[in-house]
Amino acid sequence: MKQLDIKENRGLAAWVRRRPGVQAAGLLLPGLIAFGLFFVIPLLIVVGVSFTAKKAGTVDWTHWTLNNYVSLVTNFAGDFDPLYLNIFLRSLWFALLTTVICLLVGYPLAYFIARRGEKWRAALILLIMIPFWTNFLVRTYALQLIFRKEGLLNSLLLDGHIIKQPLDMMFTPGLVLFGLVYGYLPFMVLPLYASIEKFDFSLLEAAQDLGAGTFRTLRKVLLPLTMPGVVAGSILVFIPVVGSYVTSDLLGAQSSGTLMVGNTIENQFLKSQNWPLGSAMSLVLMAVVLLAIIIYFRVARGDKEGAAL
Amino acid sequence: MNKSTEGAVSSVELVGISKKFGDSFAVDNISLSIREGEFFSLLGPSGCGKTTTLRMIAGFEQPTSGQLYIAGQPVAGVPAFRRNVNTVFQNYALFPHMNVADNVAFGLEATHAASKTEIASRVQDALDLVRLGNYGKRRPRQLSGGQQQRVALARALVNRPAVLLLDEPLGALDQKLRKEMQIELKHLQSQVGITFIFVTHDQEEALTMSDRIAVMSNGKVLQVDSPAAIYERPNCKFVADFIGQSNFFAGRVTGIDSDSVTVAVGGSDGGSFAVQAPRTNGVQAGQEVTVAVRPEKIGLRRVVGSDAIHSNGLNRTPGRIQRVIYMGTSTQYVVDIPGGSTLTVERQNSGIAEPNLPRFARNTQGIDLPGDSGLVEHEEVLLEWSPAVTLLLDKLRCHLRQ
Amino acid sequence: MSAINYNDKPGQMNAAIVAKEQAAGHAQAGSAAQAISRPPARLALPAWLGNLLLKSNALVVFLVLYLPVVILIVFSFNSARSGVNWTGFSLDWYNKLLHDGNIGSAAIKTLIVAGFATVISTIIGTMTALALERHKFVGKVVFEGVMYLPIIIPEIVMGLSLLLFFRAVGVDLSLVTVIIAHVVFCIPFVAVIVRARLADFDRRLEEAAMDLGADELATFRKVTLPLLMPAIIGGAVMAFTLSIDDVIVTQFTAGVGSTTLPLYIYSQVRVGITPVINALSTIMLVASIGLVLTSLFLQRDPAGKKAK
Repeated sequence: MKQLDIKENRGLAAWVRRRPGVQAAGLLLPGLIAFGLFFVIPLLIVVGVSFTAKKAGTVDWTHWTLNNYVSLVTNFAGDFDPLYLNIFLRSLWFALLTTVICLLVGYPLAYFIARRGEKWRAALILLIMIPFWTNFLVRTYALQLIFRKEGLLNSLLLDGHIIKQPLDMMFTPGLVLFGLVYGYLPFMVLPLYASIEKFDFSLLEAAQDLGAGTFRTLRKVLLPLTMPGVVAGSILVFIPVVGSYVTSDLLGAQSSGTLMVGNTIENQFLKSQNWPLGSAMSLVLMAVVLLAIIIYFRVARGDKEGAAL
Repeated sequence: MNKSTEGAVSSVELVGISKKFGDSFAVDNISLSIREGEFFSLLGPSGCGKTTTLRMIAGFEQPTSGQLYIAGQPVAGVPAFRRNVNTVFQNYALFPHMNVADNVAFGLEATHAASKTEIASRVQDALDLVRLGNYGKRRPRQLSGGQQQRVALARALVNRPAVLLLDEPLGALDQKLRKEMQIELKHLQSQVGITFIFVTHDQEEALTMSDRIAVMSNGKVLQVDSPAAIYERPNCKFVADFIGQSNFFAGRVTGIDSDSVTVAVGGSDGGSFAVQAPRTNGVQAGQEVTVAVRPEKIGLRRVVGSDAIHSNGLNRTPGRIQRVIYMGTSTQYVVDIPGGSTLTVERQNSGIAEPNLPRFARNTQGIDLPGDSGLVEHEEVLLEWSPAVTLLLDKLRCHLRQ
Repeated sequence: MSAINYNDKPGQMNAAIVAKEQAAGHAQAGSAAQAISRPPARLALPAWLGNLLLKSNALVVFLVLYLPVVILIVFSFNSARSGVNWTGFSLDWYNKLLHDGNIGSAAIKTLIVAGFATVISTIIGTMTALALERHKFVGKVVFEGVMYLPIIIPEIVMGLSLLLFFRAVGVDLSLVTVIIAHVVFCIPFVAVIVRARLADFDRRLEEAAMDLGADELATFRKVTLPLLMPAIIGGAVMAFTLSIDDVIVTQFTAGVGSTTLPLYIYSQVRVGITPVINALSTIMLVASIGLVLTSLFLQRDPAGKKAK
């Protein structure tokens, strides 16, 4: 039997118990140190470096300049040069296209899976989860096997005498885009499925009973109520694609039509050793991504009034 | 836990307890003394502070001010796990990751109260007590609501607490099961002899089970009494209204006798009539009061000739039936009375209340039909009730009758 | 899906629509009155067509998702040194793989990094989730924002910021710097997953435990932790997968001699195709599938019902 023992109400445990602030501090400390030291300070260093003058492979903290930002839109002579601007725009364009295609393909797929029986649903969602967990590199590499010049597709087409010369599919923007959709589709389907699965499908019948046509029902009932999944999926696809460089590297081999901002930044750091320029680029990239997310949230919220985001 | 000491020892005592959340008082300066072995209910609408009171006794909340004693000892600052008090939670709060036996054993193991073999046998005894002896290996979610409820009881009782706190434990059960559990709980309590503090918003539940009831509203205790006293002698309008149904009249005291008070009730349009009520302390002539009378205490009969005028010491008023509501065991009549107000009268259906049945059908059982049978809407009637069942309530305040 | 629907604007209905409706000989056309009161919606997709479209879409997606992977697996057993012609079944590449010291050491390094990163980030992530969900403190909103930033900002920015940081403080890049980087980007994922579960947590279960005499520590150990376990395991699996798959952050923070498996594969496939990589990829695929299944098994609800 428990005893009322007021003496036991002392000691370290009781002291901590009476001080929720101490508990909170204890729980927070490791995370605070990890983020302060290895996330916030490094980001501040990036900001600092982006204002220093170029010095190969190291940072020259004595010379401060705005040149890195200026050179994003000019050439050596100081004239306007859209080289980097185009790369930025291409990255954004690829990310947008990838997101939209993933959404158009992924939404019906997630809906289809959510409406199966319990056993089918579990099996199909597992089939989506396996590529989600599989190494991205390996999956992109598998595409290379098929699409490169000596790849499976060309050899099949040649054997079938459908084409005379092997097609040059590698290094084309189309293939890079396909690779991005292929790589990131699971990131779209999983959150979509999570929110469609919670949807009460009798609402569709209710809407149709009230006279709404198929598309009206989908637009006015299903879509608004599954908006959280659409938003989550879009963000999960858009962000990594904007900054990605593995896909365009493996399938585009950094040809001029497929170069993305990720490749360019990587080059500044790991090849041409222009850290200040790379820092400036990555900060602009970060700003663009955050801006895109904020705009997206605004639009999604304003568009679908009342949908829980 | 000795029955013979009942009344002598306070099992739980609250002295001037208040609890503030932000700027508002959830519990406002309440004092209660709960006797050992008592089945005590805290009754009130949601938000009245009854659950907060219970949580302070359990140790989940600390009072903002006031003193709390359990078994005579002050428990300020004593955490929940050191109080010899156990709780049955509203939705049972059974641990979903443990089976039934592990749930019940939890308290004994956590406090190292007994050896392994003793724990096993006490768990089995507790499960047997709630008639779930064979369910030890099941998971809580494999049980019905009523069974989960009984596991929660066993889990609390196995620790032999000085006080068992029950927070709306029957709220999630359906009507029929709830009635069964009410009887079972009451029986269990008399078996184990532990003080039960029972929180409910269901007045019928409180009346059925309790030794005493504290009626709460807005963080205050309005009345503490036995069920019968709460029902028959509510000390204020809120209690009279919350427990059962009441008819209320506003009125003014016109005369005070040695044992009775005369009140003029009714509207200003001349439809007022005099009502007699037993005298209560402190009543003064000219005072504004509320008069209350329960619907089932009012007699109802047809006006036949001029016998309506015949006085027999009862309070009386003529009226006209506005609506008849048939409710099975009884019938309710909503009656318009002079002065523009209405009275609700409830009569037992001891005869056959269906007026459209043929006359012989109504009389086949040879029952003497009371004067109120077969009354229909728009009929002129006479309402009568004894001054003894007429309650005089202060218009504004609640008095604590001790 | 019913073929006949109310129109949201009855005023738009006209005789032509009614006539069309009747001429179409719909089952409901027997009652002209009904057709008048229920003008057809302009776009009502027949159910069979909708289902067909959904099914074809699903079929195509699954084919596209799995065909390249299946081809990869098949060709890992091809005896040909290069090219896509099937020249016979062979386990040569797996044999080569086993005896390739580079791959072996890369695999070990990957597991070391993932092991440390998973354990550390799971502990810190869980603690952070508890602090954020259970406590109020000054600057909480700011901390939350900063803490979820690694999920939102491009991975490459995180990688290069850590590279600059380690250079600035004069720390040589090594496996340790890789582990630190992985810990930092895994914490938010663990915290998000654990916090979601904590938000749904029924606090009365903890009160019940205390009520039964368990102190804070015992309550945490016997009630909170077991019920949180599926989320913690889910977070750990997530961290582990992120770590063993990571190329970008690792590329920036790995020093000489700290090549992990993804870095090794990346450097190889950038150059060209070798069948050994096919075999390695196949093994990694099988490992991923095993990991998914194991994590689903471990994440079953302790209450006995399978977690969604």
